[in-house]
Amino acid sequence: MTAIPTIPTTSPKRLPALGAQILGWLGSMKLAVWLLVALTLLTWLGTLAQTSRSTYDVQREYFESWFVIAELPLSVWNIGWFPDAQGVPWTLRIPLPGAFPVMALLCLNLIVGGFVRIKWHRRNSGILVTHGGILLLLISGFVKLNYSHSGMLGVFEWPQDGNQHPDRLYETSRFVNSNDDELALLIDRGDSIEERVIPEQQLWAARGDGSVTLAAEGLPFQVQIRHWIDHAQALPKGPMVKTLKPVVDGVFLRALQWPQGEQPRSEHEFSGCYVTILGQEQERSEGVLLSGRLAPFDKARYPFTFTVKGQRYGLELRRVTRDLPFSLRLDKFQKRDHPGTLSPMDFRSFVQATDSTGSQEAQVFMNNPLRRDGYVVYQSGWGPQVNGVPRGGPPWYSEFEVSYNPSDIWPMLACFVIFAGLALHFLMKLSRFLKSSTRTSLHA
Amino acid sequence: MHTKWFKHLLLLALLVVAACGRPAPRLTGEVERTDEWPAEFIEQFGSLELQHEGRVMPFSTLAASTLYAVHGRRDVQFLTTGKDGKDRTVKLSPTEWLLDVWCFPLQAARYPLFRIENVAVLSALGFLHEGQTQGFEYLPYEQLVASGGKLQELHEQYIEKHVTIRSPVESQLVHLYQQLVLYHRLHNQLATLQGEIGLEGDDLRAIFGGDERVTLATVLREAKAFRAFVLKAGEKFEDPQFGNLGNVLHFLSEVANSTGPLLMPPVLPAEQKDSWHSLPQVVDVAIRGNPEPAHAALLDSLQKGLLAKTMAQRVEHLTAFRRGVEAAATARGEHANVALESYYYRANWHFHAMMTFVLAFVLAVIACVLPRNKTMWWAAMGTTATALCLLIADVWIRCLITGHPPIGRLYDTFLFIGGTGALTLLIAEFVLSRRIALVLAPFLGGLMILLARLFEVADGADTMKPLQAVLLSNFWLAVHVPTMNLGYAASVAAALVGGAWIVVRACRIDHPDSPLAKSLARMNYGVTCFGLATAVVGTILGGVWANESWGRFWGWDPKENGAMLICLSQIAVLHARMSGLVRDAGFALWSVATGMMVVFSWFHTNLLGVGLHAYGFSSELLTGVWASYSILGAVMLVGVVDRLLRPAPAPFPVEPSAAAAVWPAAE
Repeated sequence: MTAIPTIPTTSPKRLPALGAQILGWLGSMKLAVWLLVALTLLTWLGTLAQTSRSTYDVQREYFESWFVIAELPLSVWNIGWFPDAQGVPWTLRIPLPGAFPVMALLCLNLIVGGFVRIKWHRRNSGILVTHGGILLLLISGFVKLNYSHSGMLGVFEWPQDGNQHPDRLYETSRFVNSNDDELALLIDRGDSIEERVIPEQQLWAARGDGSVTLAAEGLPFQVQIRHWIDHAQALPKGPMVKTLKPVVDGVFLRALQWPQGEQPRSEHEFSGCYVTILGQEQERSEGVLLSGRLAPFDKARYPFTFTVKGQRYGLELRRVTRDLPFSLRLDKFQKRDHPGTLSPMDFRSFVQATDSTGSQEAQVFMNNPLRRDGYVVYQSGWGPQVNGVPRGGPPWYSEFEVSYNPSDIWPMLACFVIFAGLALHFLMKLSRFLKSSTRTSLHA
Repeated sequence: MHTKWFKHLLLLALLVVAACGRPAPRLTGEVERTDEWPAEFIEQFGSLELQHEGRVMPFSTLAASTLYAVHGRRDVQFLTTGKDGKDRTVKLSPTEWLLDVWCFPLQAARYPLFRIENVAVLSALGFLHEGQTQGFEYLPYEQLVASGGKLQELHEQYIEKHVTIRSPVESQLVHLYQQLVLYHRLHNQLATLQGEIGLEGDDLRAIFGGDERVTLATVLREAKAFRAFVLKAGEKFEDPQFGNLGNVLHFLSEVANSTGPLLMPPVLPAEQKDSWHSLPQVVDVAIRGNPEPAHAALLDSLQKGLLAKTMAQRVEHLTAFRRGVEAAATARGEHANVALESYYYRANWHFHAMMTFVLAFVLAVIACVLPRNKTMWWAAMGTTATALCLLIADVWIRCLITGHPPIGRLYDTFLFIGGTGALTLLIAEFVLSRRIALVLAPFLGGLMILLARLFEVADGADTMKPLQAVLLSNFWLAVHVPTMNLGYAASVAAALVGGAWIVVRACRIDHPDSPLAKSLARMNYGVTCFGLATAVVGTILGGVWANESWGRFWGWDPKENGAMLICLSQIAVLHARMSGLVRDAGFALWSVATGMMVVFSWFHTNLLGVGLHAYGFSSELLTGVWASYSILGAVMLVGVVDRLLRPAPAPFPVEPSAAAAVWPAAE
C-alpha cells in the first residue's frame, strides 16, 4: 500500500500571521541595527585589508561579494602580536556575510520598515524623507554597479608642425578599463584582423592546478589555459632561479610580489597564464600570456602568434577597451607650479571632442571635467614625469579618467533630500523637546 | 564630594608640569655673539619677506617651521657661562636662532639641536653613550655632521623600507638624516656671502677699484666689467696676465651650493614673474651680462650685515636689507599678506584662546562645585564664549592669509573641531544647563588647541603651505570639508558627554536615573543627532566632490570608509535606542566607541599609507592615535565593567523629601 503523501497545510489565518511576522522581522529596527553593525565591521576590516591588498581587490572581496573571510592582523601601536618568522603578525580570520546580502537586506529593511510599517504621520515626515534619500542613494549605487563603466584614456599633444610619431596616439575614441582583462583570439584575414573575445572571468577556473579549454567555432584547434595568475609577472629563467611553473622560451610566470608595507595598485597588476594550442599541424604549441595595460599612447600590439593549417592566429590577453561616442584630441597641455617649486598648482588640458555632429573645444582640469553624451572625462594625470617632476617632454601627454554612469548626479540629489529630512526631523524633535515638560524637569 | 575630585585634578596637573620640565644642555666652546639681538629688531626682521615652498612668507614663519622640524621644540635652550663667570640659561626664539645660523654659523653649529630619543640611534652612528636615560640627548650640528657619511648610508638603507614597517630606531635615523639635510642647507645658504677672496694681478684688481680682496656682492656690483674681463680671457683664464681669475670663478661657482628659501624679490610685477630668485640665479644672471642693480644693492646690505663687526652695524645693514626687500614686495603686492601673517604669529590668538579656555574650565569646575551660584555659571559661560571669539578671530585671519576656507590642512582641523565642538557643547548647555557641558566645552576647545600646537611642532611644516591642485576648489573646500569636520566635532562632543555619563555612574557622582544623568543622556542623544546630520551630509558631499574630481562617487578609500563608519555607527545607535536595544548606558558606551571611529577616520586613515588621502606618515601622530584609542577604550572598559558588576547602583542616601523630587519613578 502506497502511502499518500501529505501536503503540509497552513490554516488560512496562520499564513497572514506568518507573513506579518516575516514582514515585521524584515522591517524591524533591531534587524536594521544588526545589519548596520555588520556593515560597520565589514567597512572597518575592508579598510584595514587595504594595507596589504589593492583597493580594487578588497572592493571585490568585501564590498561586492556574498561572503567573506575577513582578516584582522593583530597589531597594536604598530607592534604585531604573535609574529611569524618574517615578522608578520598573527591574523584573525572572521567569517562574515559580504556587503551584497547585508546591503540587500538593509535595502529591504529600509523599504519595509521605513516606508511600509512606519506610521505615515506628520511627526514622521522627516524620517520618511530621509529614508527616501537613503533609498535613492542605494539605488544610485545599484545603477552604478550594474550599468556604469569607466577607464583610462591618454593622448599626446597634437603636434603643431604636423609631424606625428607613428607609434604615438594623438586622437582616440577608445578608453581602457583600469582593472578588467579579456582574452582575444585574433584571426589574420589578410586585409583585416577578426577578433573573438572572452572576459577573464571565464578563465578563472584555470587558477592553481585547474585548466580551461576553449574551442572556437569553425576553427581547427582548441586553446588550453593553465596556471592562471591574477597578478602575474613574467621573469626570465636564469640558472639560479628555481620555479615549479613551466618555462616557455626561457620565461616563466609568478605571482607579483609588492614590497612589504606598500599597497598593491590594481592598475599595475596584470593577469597572466600559460596557453597550449591543441590541434594538428600547429607550428607552435605553448606560450605565455601576460596582460598589460594597452598603453593608450602606444599603437603597437604584441600578441602570441601561431599558425594552424597555414592560417595565422594570435592570442592577446589585454585590458578591456570600450568606445566613446566621440573622439578626443589634446590640443595643448599646460602645467603651472606653485612659485619656486615643482609642486603642481594647476594642470589642464585643452581638448577637442569631435563626433559626427561637430567639434567641441573644452578645458579639462581638476574639478572641471568635460561632460558629453552621457560620458564624463576627468583630468587624471600627465607626463612624461618621474615622481611629479617633468622628464622627457615635450611633447606632453594627458591621462584622462573616462566614466559613464547613468546615476551620475543622483547622489547629489540624495544628499539634498537626506539633509532636508534629517534637518526637518531633528528640528521638530528639538522644538517638541524645548516645549515639553521633560526639559523643565531636567533643567537645573 | 566635588572638592575631592578637584584635588586629584590639581595633583595630576602638577605632576604633568613637573614631568614636562627639562634640564638645558650646555653649549660647549666659545660664544661668538656676546650681545643679545635687540628685541625690536627681532620683531621687525621676523617680518622680512621671502619665498619658500611655493608662497611668500615672513622670515619668522620659516624660522619657526624649520626649528620645529629640526629641534622638535618651540625654542632653543642651552646653558652657557655668562660674563660674570656664572652659568646662565639662554633661550632663543626661532627668529633669533635662524639669525644666528646665518650670521654666526660656527656658534650655531654648536647649539644642542638634534634630539636623540633612543640611544640605539647613537650606537648606530658610533657615538659613545651612558645608556638610555629618561631625558633626551641633544647633538649639535658640528658633531652630527661628522657622522654624516654613516648617517647617509643608514638612511639609504632604511628609506627603501616602507614607512609603516620601519622599526622606531630606523624611523628615527631616517628622520635624523632629513633633519640634518634641512639644517645643512640653511647653514650653507649664505656661506658664500660670509667669505671673500684675495685678488692677484693688476688688471683684475683694476676692475674692483684696486681692492685686494673682494666679496660676492662686490663682484656683482662690477658684474659688467668683470664679464668683459672674463670674455677677454676666454679659455686662457689661468694665464698669469689675468691674475687668479680661475680662483675667482671657482669662488663664484660655489654659490651654486646655496639652496633654500628664495630671498631676492623679482623686479617684475607678480603677474609676470611669480617666482622669487635664489642666490645662484642672481649671480648667474649678473655674470651673463644682465645684472640687476636692485639685487646687487640688496646683496650688498645682506653681506655687510653678515660680516659686520658690531651688533649695531649688523642691525643697521640687516634692517637696510629688510627695507629693500619690503619695498620690492610692496611693489609686487606681496607685502600686505606677509605683514598680516607676521601679525598673526605675533598676536598668537589661538594661544590666548587656549589660556582663556583653561580659565573657563576652572570657572566651570567651580560652578559645578557651587551648583546654586548663577554668577559662576555666567562667568564660565562668558569666558568660554570669549575664548571662542579669540579662536574664531585666529581662524578668520588664517583664512585671510591663505585665501581659502577654514580647513585646508590637517592642522586646521584641530582649530575648527575645537571651536565647533566647544560651540556645540555650549549650545547643549544652554538647552540643558546641568553645568557638565559647561565644563566639557572649554575642555574640548582647550584640548584641541593644545593638540594643534603639539602637532605643529611635531609635524615641523608650514601650517599654511599651498594646497594640492585637487584641493584648489574653494567651493568644495567651503562646503564638504567644514560639514564633515562639523560631524567630527559633534561626534567628539558626544563621546565626551558619553564619557561624562560613564564617569558620573562609575564614580557615583550621581545615580543613573538622576536628572543629571538623564540630562547627560538627553544631551548625548541631541549632539549625536546633530553629528549624524552633518556627518551624513558631509560624507555624501565628499562623494559628490570625488565624482567631480576623480570620476567616481565612492572608491572605498580609507578616508571615505572612515567617514562612513561614523555615519553607520550613529545611525545604528539611534535605531538601537529607538528599538530599545540600548538605553542610557549603552548609548553612552556607543558614543565613546563612535569617538574611536572619529579618531580612526580623522587621523588613522591618513597613516595607513594607502589611498588618496595618505598625506604622509608621522610616528608622533600614530602615538597620539593609539593614546586616544587607549583612553577611550579605558573609559569604555570602566563603563562596561561598572555596568556588569553593578547593574543598578543604589542611590545615595538623601532626605526622603528631596529623594522624591530627585529620583523619577522606576519605569
